[in-house]
Amino acid sequence: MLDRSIVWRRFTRNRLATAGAIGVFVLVGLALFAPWVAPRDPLYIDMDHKFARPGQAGFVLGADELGRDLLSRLLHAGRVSLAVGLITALIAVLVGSVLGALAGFYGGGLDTAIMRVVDVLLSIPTIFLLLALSAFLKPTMLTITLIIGLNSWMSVARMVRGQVLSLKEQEFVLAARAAGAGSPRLIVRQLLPNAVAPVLVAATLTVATAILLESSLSYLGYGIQPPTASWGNMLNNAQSYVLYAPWVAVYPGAMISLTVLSFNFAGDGLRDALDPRLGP
Amino acid sequence: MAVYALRRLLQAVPLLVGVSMAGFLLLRLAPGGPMAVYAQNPNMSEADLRRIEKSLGLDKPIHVQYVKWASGMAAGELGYSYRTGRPVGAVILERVPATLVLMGVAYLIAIALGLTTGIVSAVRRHSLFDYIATTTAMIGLSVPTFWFGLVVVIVFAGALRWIPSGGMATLGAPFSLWDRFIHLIGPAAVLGLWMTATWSRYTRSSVLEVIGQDYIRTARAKGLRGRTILMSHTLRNALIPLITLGGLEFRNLFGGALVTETVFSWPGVGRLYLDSLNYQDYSVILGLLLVTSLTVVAGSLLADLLYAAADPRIRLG
Amino acid sequence: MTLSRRTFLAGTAAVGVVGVRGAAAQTATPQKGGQIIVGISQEPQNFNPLMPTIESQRGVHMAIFDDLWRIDAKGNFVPDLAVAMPTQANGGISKDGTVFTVKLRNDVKWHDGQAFTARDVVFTWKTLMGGKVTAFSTVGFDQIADMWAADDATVKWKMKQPFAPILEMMADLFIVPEHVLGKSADINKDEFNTRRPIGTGPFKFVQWASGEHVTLEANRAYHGPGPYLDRLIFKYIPDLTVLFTQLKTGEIDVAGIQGIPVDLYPEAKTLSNINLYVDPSTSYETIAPNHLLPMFKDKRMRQALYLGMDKKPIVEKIYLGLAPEAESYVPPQSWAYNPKIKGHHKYDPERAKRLLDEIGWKVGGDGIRVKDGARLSFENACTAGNKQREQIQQLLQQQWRQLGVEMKISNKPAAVLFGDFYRMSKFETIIIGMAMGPDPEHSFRLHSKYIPAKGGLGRNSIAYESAEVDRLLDAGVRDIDREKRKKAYFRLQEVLADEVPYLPIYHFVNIRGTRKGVEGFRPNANMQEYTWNTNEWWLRKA
Repeated sequence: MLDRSIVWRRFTRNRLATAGAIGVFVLVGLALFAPWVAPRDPLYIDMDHKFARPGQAGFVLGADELGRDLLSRLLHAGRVSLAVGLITALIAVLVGSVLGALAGFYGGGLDTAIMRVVDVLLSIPTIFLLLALSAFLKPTMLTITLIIGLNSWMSVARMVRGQVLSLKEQEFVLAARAAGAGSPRLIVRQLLPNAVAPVLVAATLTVATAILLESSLSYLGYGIQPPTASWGNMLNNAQSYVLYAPWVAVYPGAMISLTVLSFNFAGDGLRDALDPRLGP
Repeated sequence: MAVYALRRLLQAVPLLVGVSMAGFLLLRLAPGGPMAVYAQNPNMSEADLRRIEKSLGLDKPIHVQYVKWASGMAAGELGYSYRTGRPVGAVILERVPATLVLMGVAYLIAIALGLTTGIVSAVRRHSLFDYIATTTAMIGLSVPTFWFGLVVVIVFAGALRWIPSGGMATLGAPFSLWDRFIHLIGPAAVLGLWMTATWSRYTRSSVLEVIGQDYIRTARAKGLRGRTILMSHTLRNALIPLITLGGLEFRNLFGGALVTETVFSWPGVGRLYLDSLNYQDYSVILGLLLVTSLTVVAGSLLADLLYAAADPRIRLG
Repeated sequence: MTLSRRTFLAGTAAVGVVGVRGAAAQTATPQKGGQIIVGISQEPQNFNPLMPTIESQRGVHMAIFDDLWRIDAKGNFVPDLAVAMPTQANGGISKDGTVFTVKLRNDVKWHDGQAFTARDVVFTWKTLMGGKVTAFSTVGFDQIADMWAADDATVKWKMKQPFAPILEMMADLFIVPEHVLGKSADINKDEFNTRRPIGTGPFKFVQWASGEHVTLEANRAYHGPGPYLDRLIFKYIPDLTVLFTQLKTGEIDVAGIQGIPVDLYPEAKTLSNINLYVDPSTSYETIAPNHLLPMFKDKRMRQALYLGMDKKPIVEKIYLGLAPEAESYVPPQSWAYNPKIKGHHKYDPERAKRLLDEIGWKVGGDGIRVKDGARLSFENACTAGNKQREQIQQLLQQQWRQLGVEMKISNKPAAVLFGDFYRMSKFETIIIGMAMGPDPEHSFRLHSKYIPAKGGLGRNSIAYESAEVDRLLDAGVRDIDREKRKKAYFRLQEVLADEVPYLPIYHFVNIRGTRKGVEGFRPNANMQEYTWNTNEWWLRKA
């Protein structure tokens, strides 16, 4: 493991990474405090103000096709989209780490079984699998998050397994074993902390991918259902209005890009900062 | 190497069985079913529905249906589409060329553009070009494909009229290469630029990694000129690992193609998959899952073989 | 002159019926040549008109195949393969209304050159009923006891009992060739369905490029006027925004199935190179409650919900004032429409609240009404991704919330929604579009013998049961006299307005567009498909 202060120095020196990290904090903060920050009820329909322009009648960013306040919707949609992204990443990390560690540590039949499942899942194009699943389940926020999450853990599993395999033979693990440490304890105490760096990077990138996947599902008609707003379904709903109410489409599109960009920059920066082979 | 290839191919068999069983089970346990399409027809009675169900063999228990289907598969018989009664193999095959053309051209765009920008970015690390290229690539990766596609249609086809807004060719006009070409620009650019971003980023980091390694430093210390080092040492070693990326990208390419095909009315397999899902045409869905999995597996096998051929340090076996 | 469907059964003299389908007055002499590309958002995949079908497929069938007669936009029957409409006056229908004799044209050829005869008609009906083909429907056609060819140009059939809508049903039965399908080993998998359909219509099948287009070419031996075009192409464009863009740029000439989404209508109106058609249909949009749930069994509950529904913003803001409010399943343009129904529904939330109070639903702590410990809360489903329905849902959710009623939105993909979930009455409430068709007969949606969840054979999936409605529906089809039928249907609409088994919202309109220069395009609610008269379409050369 690298010295923490070196990592911190490297990360903060990388301007894009810093910008990404700040972006992530701001976005997550806005989402957390959405109910207090949002000026209006995001679900309140006011047909008399259908497509109110930005600034008109007190709608700071304008209103959508049902006269709902776009700013409030964006903030609340951010909660949904970010939750989808973050929970997906959490599922991917948990499932991937546990299965990867088990496979790497125990090897043998268990390893083969887990890695075959990984292979099967990795050989089906992601969207194909997502669509097949969501076509038959009730598309709620929970099911969509679960579906995306359960399709994202495979690369983490491979990564962790690889790490575990190489760490297993290293001296400190052998020493711990000799000292009589049990297997689960070993995995948790010694091996996982060493695999944290790549997993953390993978997690940030998974957040970005998941938010994009959710918007694609919305476009294909299998996304999160109304009245719950997500950036993905807001963007998709806006496509018919692009020419005469462009603001309805611009904001959610910008939010998706901004979020994905922030997470990607932060993730990339993290990878560079944690890479022991690159200079200080 | 031939033995290795054969063994990898054999390993793919249980994989495909796994895919088929997972797919079959998933589709059969799902609510709805291929009958739902017919049930929407207001003139159809319950008895009519039961009759159709029986004639399609959907009234039998699930394991019986799977065994029947799988034994057909083994004989190279993918079954018949519930919707049209046509052989699934033929249904899929006629969509393959469109997808191949789209994916192929997008791939070429991505590799050409991605490698160039990636290499320049790496060599001129922290330059203005590097920042612009990195940021552009990141933005490219952060825009949903469907949205990028729709904007291209609305702006470049609808408003500016530079390109057609969809399809593969002008209907009713005689075949012309130019016509095919301008129809391909929109979808290939959308799919290709999205992949370019990935390639550019991977190339950059791969080149950077090689530059940081000892033997390049040694070469520099020996007094070799920058360009010579770049060409003879760095690039070769940096690009070889990218072959693996080429194999892995297949999987994402199908996903991107599915969305792009929907936006641009491109008659490929991705669109066929989505339509089959909407009509719950089980046999076509399963066929497509198998065909795409097979392609992904073949893609990564090909990449591994190429990798071994390109890098003498790797021995397969 | 064409024979009005309003008069034929009443026995008014029918003199010299001459019209072939769509031979209505033309404003200009059609010019010949050219091609028209129709954009459609569902892909036609099966060209056998006897098999289960979707809207876009039906549109293609109409251009390739013929029926005995069609129905024009005003409700007039227009003979097609028949020489004249059978009536009781001309002896085509027996006095008791059960035996039909139809004279057929003797100048009709199949696209492969063979002559069309009465045996093809008999073959078509027998195949439909025989179980060898996966039939699109047998309802109504099963009322025919037997059909036979009296000679090459005369087909006769006998009904089991008088059944008024049979002539409308025959307008929906495309005739297929016996000399081709009669030899087929398995009609369900025959090449006829996907590669070589053969009809008698104005256009011949040339090619189906999967995922791309269906190309038809003019049938020069067509028996009617036209066709004037050289080619008719149906182009598959899954995304409706792109479909509209293609109409703007001229990549397609006609926006066909799904037409122009109402969201794009304001923009479409501003385009000078497009003719817009806003046409009524016989479909209506409705909230359908599941009558198996105790909550909805009480008609006062349904009345209260209906009183609490403000249709104004739906019709004026979502539908931009294009679609008329609906109060029953019968569209205003139908002969069976009861004008007294108009204005029966009023938005009156105060009365709605009083009604709910009366039947024991009291406002609880969270603002939602409660009765015997149960909250007044239910789910509503529609096809996921259907934007207009999703907008209506969200609006209703807010309106009903003000009554103290909680409606939760729970949408599903079409394949799931229309599977057992809807059919076998497993939903709570649903938003759905329902088609009446040209005839007001609506038993399979309302009659208690047609409840699938109770073993019935129809589509009364709301499981509504009413002895009076059953009686009126039966009277409607058994009486062959139009005036008597009218009485039954007028009364039926009054009963339904009070009972509110469905909560109708508005009558559906199709918004379609063509490029300027496309002539003869006349959508027709009575034929479902706008391609009912492609033989008349022509291109004005610039």
